[in-house]
Amino acid sequence: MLDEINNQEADSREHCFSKAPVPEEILDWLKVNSVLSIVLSDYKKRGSSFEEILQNDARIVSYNKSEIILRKGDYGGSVLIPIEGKVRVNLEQSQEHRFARKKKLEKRSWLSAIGQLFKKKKTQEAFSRVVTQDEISGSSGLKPFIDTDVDQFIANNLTRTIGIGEIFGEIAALRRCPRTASVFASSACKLVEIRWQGVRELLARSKEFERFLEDIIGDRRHQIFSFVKMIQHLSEDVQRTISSKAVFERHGSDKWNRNFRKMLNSDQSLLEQESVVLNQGHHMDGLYVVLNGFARVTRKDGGEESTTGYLRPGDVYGLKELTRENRQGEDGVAFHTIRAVGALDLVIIPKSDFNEHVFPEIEKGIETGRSNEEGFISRDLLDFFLDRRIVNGNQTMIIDLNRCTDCDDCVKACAVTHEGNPRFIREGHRHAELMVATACMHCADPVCLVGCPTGAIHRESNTGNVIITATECIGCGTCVESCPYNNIRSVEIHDAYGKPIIDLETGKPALKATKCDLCIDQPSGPACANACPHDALHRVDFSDISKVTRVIEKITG
Amino acid sequence: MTIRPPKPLILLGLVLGFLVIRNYLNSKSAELVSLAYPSGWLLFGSFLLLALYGMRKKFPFLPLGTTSSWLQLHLGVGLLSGYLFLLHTGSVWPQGRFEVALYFIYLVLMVSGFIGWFLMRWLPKAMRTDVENLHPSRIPSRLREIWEEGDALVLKVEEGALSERIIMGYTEVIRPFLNASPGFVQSKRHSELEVPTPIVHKLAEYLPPSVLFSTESSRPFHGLIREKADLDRMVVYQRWIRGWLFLHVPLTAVLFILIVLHTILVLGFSSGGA
Repeated sequence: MLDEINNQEADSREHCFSKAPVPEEILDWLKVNSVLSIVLSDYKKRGSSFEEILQNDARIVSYNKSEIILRKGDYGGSVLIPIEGKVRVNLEQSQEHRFARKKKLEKRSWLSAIGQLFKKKKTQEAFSRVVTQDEISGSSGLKPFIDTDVDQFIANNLTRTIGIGEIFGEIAALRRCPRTASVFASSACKLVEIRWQGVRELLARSKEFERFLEDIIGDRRHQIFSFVKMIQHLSEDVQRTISSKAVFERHGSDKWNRNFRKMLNSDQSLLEQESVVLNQGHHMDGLYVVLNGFARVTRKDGGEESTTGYLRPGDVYGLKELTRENRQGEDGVAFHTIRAVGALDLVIIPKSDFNEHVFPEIEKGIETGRSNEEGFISRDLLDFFLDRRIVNGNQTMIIDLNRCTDCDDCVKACAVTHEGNPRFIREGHRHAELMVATACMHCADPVCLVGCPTGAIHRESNTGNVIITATECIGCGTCVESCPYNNIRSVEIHDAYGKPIIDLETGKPALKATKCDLCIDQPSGPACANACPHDALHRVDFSDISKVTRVIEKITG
Repeated sequence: MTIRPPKPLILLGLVLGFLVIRNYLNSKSAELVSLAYPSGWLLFGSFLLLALYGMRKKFPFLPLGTTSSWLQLHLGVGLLSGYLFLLHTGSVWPQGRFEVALYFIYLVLMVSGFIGWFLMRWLPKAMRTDVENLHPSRIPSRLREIWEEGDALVLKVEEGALSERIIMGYTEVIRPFLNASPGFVQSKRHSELEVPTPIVHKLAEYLPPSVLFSTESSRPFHGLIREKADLDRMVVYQRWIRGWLFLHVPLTAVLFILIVLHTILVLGFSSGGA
């Protein structure tokens, strides 16, 4: 009887972050003793209550001593609040290897992969078994732990305690960027984990909480530098000094995907619609470092403005100008105009700090990162990639039309590895001899994640690939709508007998969102690229300019 | 044509393979051993290796190297097998019917393979020069639309001195052309009018095409014929690009059976002789 009641309760919480509700006493405790008390100071009651949001989007997680709670560099979509025990953050970059992942993502065995060929499915997208929540969240296994004595580690290295009721993990959860620090349990502890959907709900209802979180992000912003190649080798003290004086700016709209298609069809030129960050010829006030989003780099020659490059997270602009100013004593003016393509978060390191901390490293000849400011591919092609926001892709599928024979081997390979349902369309935007296929690009800024009510679409923590957990997807179509590239599709799902699953509420067939998962569980990686006999299909990471150039050179000859 | 140099490792492997085989056969020759057996077994081995390419394509999810590398290997081994074939047969046309069949099918298979490779490197570029933005799967529906557009246009031809001849030209020449299958060979195009030459000649019986395509009411027909000719060209190329496989793949199966029979016969007779 008790089991039945528990099962009923679990069923009713099917779309919640946790199958078990957050106990009332913990909710009461959070209202008084944690940062969430700020939310209640000016909570606007609109739709869900504070308790309802937390019941839907929060869960209690426990860790044993020395277990890793967050790993630097992983992608994550939740914030955490310690409610019991001790939690510490590692501040020593040199010790990050202690937190490294020991076990690689499990892939199918060869036998299991070959078995796919013989598994005759009557219908596409059929579910032969129910996947348990434990399997989905991975909580059935052992949690990763630091590979050394934790007390000694704390004694010998710089770490900081995160107090009970404080919040952490907010930068990655809200900025869709990797975790900026590793956090571990220094004693057995319990935490409240709130997924980002819930945090956004709270932010939408409390201005005070929004300001508070922005302040925290500001205080911890030096951590963001750890991913900027030019800055990451500088000591943490220097990084703190730089970040304390640096100017953080946000340009463009966070919801750029909503009006993207409209922008493309608008009579107004795209250049005019993008917000200007820096004008060509203007005085350089510092080094521009892109934290999130994308920027278009243009240059006006003889009255005509044309695209000469783009900037992605981690890229810098102004190095050439400031170095020239330092070496030749000329006043540094911008050689190019910088425009925000969609939403752009950037930090401007003041000239004085650049001269004091960064320029000496350049003089020493230290590799200070790259700047893709100019001419590696034709300007036409650059415009094409920027206008269609293809630079967002980390795994963009580009097809060489001069070599593609329409044999469809790529599509067949995709179908074989995805139960008969290919996850991409071999059609898309074309430019001269190349085509960008309609396949998930596993974007640097995955706007499809925004608004998913169950968190089914998420970033894989170690690879950054954007994945949909089929068993968590409720088929609402939010991600399908949000993807500006039409790379996600809703498909009808079927039971193990091939019958369509009917949504009892609407009486219509149940849907699920599907998209390319880069054959994450296959021994080979993306089967499409493997299957192309003509070397016509390429997966391109736009953050790696050398690879982009190589592929484009290969295609254009 | 879009040809890239082979991958260095594959090229190196093939060159080494060739040198090792040549050395081995030379040593056998020096020992006064007939090359028929060693070259035959090597040829049989190369045939199996060639057939492995088809198998690899069935397993795109296994990390066995990319299919494009396998295709390069397939082509290289194909060349190597040509060398072995010449050694094995002594470059002489055989006498018996069975051997002639074996010889002939092998030659057709090899030539069809290289023709296929040539088509796959030449046609994609040629296919994309005109009707750039049309996906091949949409060609049949576009052809149907063109036909319907033609019928709609002819109804709009206004009464006049040329109207009867225009309508005759449409019903007797243009309409059948718009509805016709392109076959396997594309028609030659008229240099000025850019439409298939046979159409120009047939239309001339009713009205000189230069006159026909210059009248206000019939100028759209020119556009439709040109588009149909472009689409026909794409269809013809697609038929070529797939058609050679209808020769290459079944012949592989036939040759395999013949090779096995040939081996059994040779071994049977040789053991009998011993």
